[in-house]
Amino acid sequence: MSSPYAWLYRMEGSALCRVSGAIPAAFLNRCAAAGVPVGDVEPESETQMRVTIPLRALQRARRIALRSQCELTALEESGARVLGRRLARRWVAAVGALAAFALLAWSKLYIWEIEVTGNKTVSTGAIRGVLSDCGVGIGTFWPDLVSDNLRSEVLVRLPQLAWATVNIHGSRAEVIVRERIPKPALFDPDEAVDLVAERTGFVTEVRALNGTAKVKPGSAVLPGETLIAGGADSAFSGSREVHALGSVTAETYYELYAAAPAQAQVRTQSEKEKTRWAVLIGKNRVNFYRNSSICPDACDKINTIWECRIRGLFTLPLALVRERYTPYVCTRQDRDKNALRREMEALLHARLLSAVDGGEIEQETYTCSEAAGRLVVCLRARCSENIAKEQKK
Amino acid sequence: MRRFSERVMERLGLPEELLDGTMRLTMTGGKQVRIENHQSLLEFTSEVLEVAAGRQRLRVIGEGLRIISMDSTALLAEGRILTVEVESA
Repeated sequence: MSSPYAWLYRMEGSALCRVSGAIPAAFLNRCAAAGVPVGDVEPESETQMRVTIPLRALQRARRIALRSQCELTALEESGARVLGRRLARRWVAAVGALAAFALLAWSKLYIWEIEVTGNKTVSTGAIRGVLSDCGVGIGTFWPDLVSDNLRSEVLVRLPQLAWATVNIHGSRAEVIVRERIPKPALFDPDEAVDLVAERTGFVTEVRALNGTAKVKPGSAVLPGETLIAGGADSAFSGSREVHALGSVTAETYYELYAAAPAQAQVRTQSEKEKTRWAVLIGKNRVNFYRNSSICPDACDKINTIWECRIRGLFTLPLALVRERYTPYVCTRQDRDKNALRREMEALLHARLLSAVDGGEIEQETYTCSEAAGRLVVCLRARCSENIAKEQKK
Repeated sequence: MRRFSERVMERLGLPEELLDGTMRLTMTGGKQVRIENHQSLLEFTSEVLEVAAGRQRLRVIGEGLRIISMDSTALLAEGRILTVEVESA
């Protein structure tokens, strides 16, 4: 816990002092009576303690210490006033700090970072491209921007968006968008729609809620075969067209394959890695190396960028770039077949789950073989699932 | 006079703390103690803090005691407080 006067001490400056004497408590009593605020009192021994006193009251505290037959020694001074005094002595540092503050204030009037949030289907690149066409990009003077005009322009250029806004936080532009929700397809009960088989299977259950069932449990169906026809008997015209509704559960069989080379290419570092440095100032780049930055063949290039910013507070148009080149040679190595097999089995299982889509896997078996330098895994499965899908007549 | 005022407060059924100058002690979680209307600090070490308040003496015994702030009316101290003793004259 800090003193309730801590913020005051920091603003106006305070001194950490040592009070030594026969009865240091007498000093505290006199200070309290004289209205000298003392805080953070820590006893060091029976005759010595540390106290924090505001700088404005230090002289009075010294006189009180003398009257209390104590000795007051200032150990350390701190706070804004002390910092100001120190800076006044070091005018170069003061000018530097002032210049840095001015540079920071000036840089905050420009956009140095654009963050797009809220987009799912429209890419961030597309949004940034439209923003750039509207005059919002890195280095834009943001006080010139009119948010309403910008929003209208973005929405006209990107009809997939329902709403957009640009918030400026210092030199960071936060673009929040909401995408348009596509209109759901309306169910038309009079539309002539059949339910047909999506895949081959043996029908085990038919539930026809609307329309006429064309198959019975036990029958085999091929893809595209009508399962529930979109037609119903009518008292007036003999038959009428309806939107078929229902589900047809069938036993289906899957045979899925996955293959992977039994050997893999492994990169091994061939020479010592090289490092190049560059600096980004706004949109300009200053390279500290000659020749181009084209990466030589058989070489990994890793770029690391350190931006001069404190996230959420400010961003400066300054960044340090490190390019690291690692030359490599490729060698072929045998892969761990068991691990590879497990990997492919997991992959096939995921593919099966995706294909069955809500159905039930009743049985699945995996077989593995190796041919022509490739490991082939086969999944055979028996499933139970709804195979009916809508098809307009 | 003091006793008379105390008697009046008692007869009226009013809390004694309404009297000007009555010592008030607030302790928070065994870690912090606030003493209002103290008259003087008698002893202060990292284990003992003794304060005079009228006809009473308050003694706080603990470990690592330190005074956070102190003025003519209130004293705020913290540390591991083990015992608080009040001695009436």
